Amino acid sequence: MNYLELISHVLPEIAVLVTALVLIGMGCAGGSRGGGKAVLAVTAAGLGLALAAVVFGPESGRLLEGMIVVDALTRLFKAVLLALTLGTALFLFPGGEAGGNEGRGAENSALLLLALLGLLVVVGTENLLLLFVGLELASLALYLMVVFAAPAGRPAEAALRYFFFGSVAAAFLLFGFSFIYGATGSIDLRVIAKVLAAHPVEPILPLGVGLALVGFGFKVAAVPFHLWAPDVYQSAPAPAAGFIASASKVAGFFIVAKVLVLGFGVVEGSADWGAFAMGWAPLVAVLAALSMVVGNLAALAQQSVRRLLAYSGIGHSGFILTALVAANAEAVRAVLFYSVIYGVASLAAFGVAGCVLRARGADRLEDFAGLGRTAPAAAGVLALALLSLAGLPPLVGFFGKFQLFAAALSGGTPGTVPGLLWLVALALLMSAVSLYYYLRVLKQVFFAPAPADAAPTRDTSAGTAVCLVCGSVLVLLGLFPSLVLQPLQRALVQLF
Amino acid sequence: MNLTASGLLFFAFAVLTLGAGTAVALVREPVRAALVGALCFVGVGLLYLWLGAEFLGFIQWLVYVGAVAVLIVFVILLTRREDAGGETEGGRFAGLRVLGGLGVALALFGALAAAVLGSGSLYREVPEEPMVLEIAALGRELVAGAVPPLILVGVVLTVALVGGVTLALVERKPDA
Amino acid sequence: MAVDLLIVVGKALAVVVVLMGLCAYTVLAERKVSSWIQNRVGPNRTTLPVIGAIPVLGPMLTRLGLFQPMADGLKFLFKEDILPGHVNKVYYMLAPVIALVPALLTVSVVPFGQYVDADGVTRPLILANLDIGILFIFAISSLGVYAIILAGWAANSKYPFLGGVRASAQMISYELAMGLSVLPVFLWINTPGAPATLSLVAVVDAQAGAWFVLLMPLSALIFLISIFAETNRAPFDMPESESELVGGFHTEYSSFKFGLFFVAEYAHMIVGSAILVLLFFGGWHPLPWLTLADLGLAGGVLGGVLSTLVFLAKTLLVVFFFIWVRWTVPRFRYDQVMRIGWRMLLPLAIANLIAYVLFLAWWVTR
Repeated sequence: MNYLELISHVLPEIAVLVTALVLIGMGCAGGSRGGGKAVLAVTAAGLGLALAAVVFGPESGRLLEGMIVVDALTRLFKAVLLALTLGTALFLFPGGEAGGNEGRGAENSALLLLALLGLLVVVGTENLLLLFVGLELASLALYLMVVFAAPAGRPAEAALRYFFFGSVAAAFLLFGFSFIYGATGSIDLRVIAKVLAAHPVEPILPLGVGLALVGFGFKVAAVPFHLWAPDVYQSAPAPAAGFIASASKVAGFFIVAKVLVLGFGVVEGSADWGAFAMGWAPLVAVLAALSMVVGNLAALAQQSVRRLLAYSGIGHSGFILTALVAANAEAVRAVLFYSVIYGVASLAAFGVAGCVLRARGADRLEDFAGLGRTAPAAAGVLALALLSLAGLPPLVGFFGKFQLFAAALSGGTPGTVPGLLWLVALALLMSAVSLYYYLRVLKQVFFAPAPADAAPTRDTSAGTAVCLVCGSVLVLLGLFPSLVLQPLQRALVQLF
Repeated sequence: MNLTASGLLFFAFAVLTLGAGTAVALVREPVRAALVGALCFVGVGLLYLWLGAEFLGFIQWLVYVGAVAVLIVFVILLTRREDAGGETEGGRFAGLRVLGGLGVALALFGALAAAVLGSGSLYREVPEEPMVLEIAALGRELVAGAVPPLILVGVVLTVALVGGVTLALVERKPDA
Repeated sequence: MAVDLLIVVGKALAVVVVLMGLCAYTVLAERKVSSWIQNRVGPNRTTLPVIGAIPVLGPMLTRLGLFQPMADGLKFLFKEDILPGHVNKVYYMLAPVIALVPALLTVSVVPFGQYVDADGVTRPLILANLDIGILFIFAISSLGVYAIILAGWAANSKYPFLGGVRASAQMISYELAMGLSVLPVFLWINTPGAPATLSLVAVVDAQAGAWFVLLMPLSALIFLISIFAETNRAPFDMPESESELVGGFHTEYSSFKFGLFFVAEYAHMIVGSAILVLLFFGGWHPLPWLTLADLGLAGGVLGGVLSTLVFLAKTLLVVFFFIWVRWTVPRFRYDQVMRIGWRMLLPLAIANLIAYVLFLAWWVTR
């Protein structure tokens, strides 16, 4: 056991943790009162250091029976998470005044970083124990971020709901893991895969996987475990909601894909039409179908834009899970790619929604009226984000969705009708539905007249910059998807 | 079936634990629920002791019964309301809800039982000698293989602490 | 088999009887010491028919109040047992029992002496020589708080309730500092190479040279203060402070049930003192750097008796210290109790632990 080796492999995590502790210290010393800028600077510096540690750190390694795993894939996703968190941190500080978080900027930032730490750990492990603890860390910090901004009223209720759902989901996850351990005698995903390949499957294993799926379903807000999402997205402070919808979800899909494909690829089963076989694929297929239908149809009826984004997020979970059912290298690539661009688009959309909320006091559809004239930059970014989510070319969303559905259809023997055609057909239909509600928002933004008494939507340079960066990423990746796809492909080759 | 004294003890502890656990869900008054919850933890500790894991058993008592459950009771006492226990489960569908809950619980339990009973190879040989968990081995494991989760749990507790303290402070703000 | 069982039961009974006797006479000591401190005489009238009539000896014993505990005991037994109408009966009855059980259980792992048997093997005098004795004591004594919470809650009355809440907060707060303060001791005796153990006998054996109070005075001090708080003794007797809460958590108790609380409190104090002696004051070693074996007195029955006497003497000295403090120092305010626990003792205990970890790491790798 070499501690130095261990430390060298978790330098990014250590950087984030130390920064969070420094921020807590600053909070105790009253640092957030005078200078939100100082807090922002420390946060950004810490994230930068962590990013540097990811880039220049060890290229590969597997320590302590898969507890700490460093390879191209984990490094890539750690970098993505750090970037998304940096964006969220900039949103947290509109203009250096601790807007919306009542002078608790330091604690708020610290919680953001600790949530990030949990996600980093989750991404960088192949061990169920560490995976669970990491998820718990991220969840706990997120519950607090949701409740932090306002002392009473709806956020507290939403946070409480989030907390209850999260606790039950965590219990399911842990219960499931314990059955998996009981059936295979290991909590290391690779060992589990080996054991499963070599031995007949006991009935308690599928039970364990099913219970764990409940927990994962909560994390990625898949129907029927989505009930917390609309309230939380609507009531949480916009940056927190943005973080939940971006970084947290990216990590969630990453780990779902990794656990299912890497650990339980053997017991996949099949969700092909007419050829159902026991395994996790049919379960995931059901989750995917339900999420797509419920999420997209419910989004049609929403008046609050953040709530609409929540339901659209649930629908997107369905799209992403659709590809996961295929469970081959191509599918994993598509899942990971799409989760990243979904994260970027969500962050941008929540950023703009937050601006509108601050300027007009609410985020109903009417409140977006005339945004195209009062704040063209924000409106443009919102348009880019929503159209990308809807999957219109040339934005990257189109390419991502195309990849998802192609991957879902790629399974099975060539020449026959793809077994997952039914699911993909449903996905296409729901994708068309989603276009409608995204356009409803954009119609308000660009074609409705601004209310006469509308205060000018001013936003700070930092928040706008993040929005603009997100928007340009969406366009750039739409034109050159290989910028992300190629590293992803290379990383996945190492994995499979 | 021949029950040894040890087997009888196991059943006694199991019944205690499960009974207390059920009571937690069924008892109306929060204080009583928390108290039987503590009893449930005591039962879990007894089961650990029965398994020969003395260290775990006593830690279970020390941490869960002596600290966690006490805190829960403490918080409930501090927030106690005069009408505690007098609330009625309103709504027209109360009976339906109970039935639904029971149905889900029974289905889950059925699935669990079927899966566990169906997993034949789980009945491995039970060693004659009770296993003894060496404290030294436990300690070595904690500073070697289990370092990352151990530290991370510490971070989780830090988050809980920061959150608790800050939330408690928010309440005071209006006075200031 | 049956004989073995009988012996075990007999031993347990003997220990419990001795502990009960100690409790009774500690109460007397408390009354006498407080009278001396306050320039009074204390109990000096109670007497027994026959013994009290013995010429010189009888009046002397009566003056010392040695018969008083018997009167006290009878009083607890035969006074009217009032069961108030407004209490939660089951929990109300349960509380005193829960108070006494942990106090009596913990004593079963307290070693009180040792002797060298005919084969030259050193054997400790202890009811149950658990390898994790200290953990057992912490675990069981942490259950004692339930008695107070239950009593405070079940009595359904405001003073007991406040007392119960205060007590639980206080006991949780000081448990942390207490646990952290004993860790250096066990780090010290578990340095690499030594057999890993949490046994109290091993702690005493390790003090054949220097006592741990000399090696780690800060630990001893923190532990001592924490015991004061854990046993709800003055100056930490907030839970039952008579000037604010009538009688605290046992306000609504009378007669025998009150007696159980009363005995439990003193039993806790005695066991706490015993553990302090075992951990920091050399257990049954008469002086630092001087053991009974050095004096050649460790063998056989003599060794057992002598070591037990040394240990008892030290324990009673600590008990005297408890009483002395109670009648000398005024009670803390509640916020002071919390501040001392969380902002002074806990950080100190953590710093102390880190310091000893670093020191031992240096010492071992030196």
